[in-house]
Amino acid sequence: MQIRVNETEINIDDKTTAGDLCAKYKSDADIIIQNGHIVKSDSKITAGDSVYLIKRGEKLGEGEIKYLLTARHTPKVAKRLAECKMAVCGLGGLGSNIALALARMGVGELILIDYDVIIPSNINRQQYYIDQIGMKKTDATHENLKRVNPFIKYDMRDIFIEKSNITGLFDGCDVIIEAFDGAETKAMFIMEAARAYPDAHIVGASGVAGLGSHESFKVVSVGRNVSLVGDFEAEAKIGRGLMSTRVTIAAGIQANIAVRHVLADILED
Amino acid sequence: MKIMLNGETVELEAPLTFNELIDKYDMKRETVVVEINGDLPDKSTYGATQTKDGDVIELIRFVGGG
Repeated sequence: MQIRVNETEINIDDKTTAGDLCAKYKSDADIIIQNGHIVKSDSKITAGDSVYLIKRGEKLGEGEIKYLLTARHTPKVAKRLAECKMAVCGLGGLGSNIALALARMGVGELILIDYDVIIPSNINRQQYYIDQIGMKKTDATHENLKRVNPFIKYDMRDIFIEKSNITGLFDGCDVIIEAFDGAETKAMFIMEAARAYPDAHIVGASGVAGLGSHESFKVVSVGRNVSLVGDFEAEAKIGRGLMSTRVTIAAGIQANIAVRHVLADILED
Repeated sequence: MKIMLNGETVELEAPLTFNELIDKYDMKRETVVVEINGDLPDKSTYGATQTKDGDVIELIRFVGGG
C-alpha cells in the first residue's frame, strides 16, 4: 500500500508498524507522528497514512523544516491552507494575535495591514516585545512571523484603511479579517468589505474589552458573508481596559473561523 | 406594523427609516450596521429606507476595543 514518510511516497506491506518505518527510514528518530498524532512504535499503518519521523535536537535543512512545521496538523489541512490568501486589518490586540495564529497554521499568503507604531501600553495584549517598542507594527509583525513561518508570502501594508481604499485592497482573498480598535471604523469596514468582496468571508469582532467571562462571547452570522465575534457590549472605556487573556480568546476565535471557512469541505469536526 | 427586531417581535405605529430605528434604541448611528432580511444595505440608504411589515431586522452594535 501507498503511504508517505517525511513527504516521500513509499510502498509498504499491509502489516507494517510505525516502528518498522522508523527502523527502515530513520532509525535514530524518537518521535513518530501518524496523521497528525504522536504514536508509539506498535501503531499499525494504513493505506494513505502520512508519517513523520523526527529526532529531537537534530539540525535540519529548510526543506525538511518546511514540511515538519505542519506535521501535527490534521491531514489535508496544511495543503489546503497553503493555497489560501487571507488579510488581517489592524495589527493590535486582535490582529497581531490573529496573524501569529494564521502564520502557525501555514496560510499561504497573508496581507497584513496597520499604520501605527508599537508603544509600551501595547505589550499587555499584543504580540510584540519590549525591544520592538517604536517599530512600525507591520515591520515588527513581519520580523516575528518570519521566525515562526518563513515559507508564507507576506504582503505588509503600512497604510490607514478608509472607506475609499478598501476596494482593490483584497483581491483574491478567501478571508478578510477586521481587527480594528474603533467602533466606527469596525462598522464602516464590515459593511464596505462585505459589499466589495461578496465571494470572501469577512470576520470581525465587537465587545472584547475588560475581563468578562469567555462564555459571554458569541459568534453571529450577518448578511451573506460575515461572521462577528464578541459580546457586543464590553467597549473599551475609562475604567474598562483591554487585556491579553480576553482579547486573545477573541483573536483565536476569529482565526479559527477563518481557517474553518476555507477547510469547510474537509473538516470532520 | 410588526417587524422582527434582534430576534423579538416589535410593533411599530408607523414606518421608520433605519436611522430613526437606530435613534429609537439610543444607539450611535456610526457604530451600527443594519441587516435587513439577510442583506447589508449601504449606509447611505439608512436615511431613506423605511421599515416594512414583516421585515426581519438586526441592529448590530459595534463597540470599541481590539
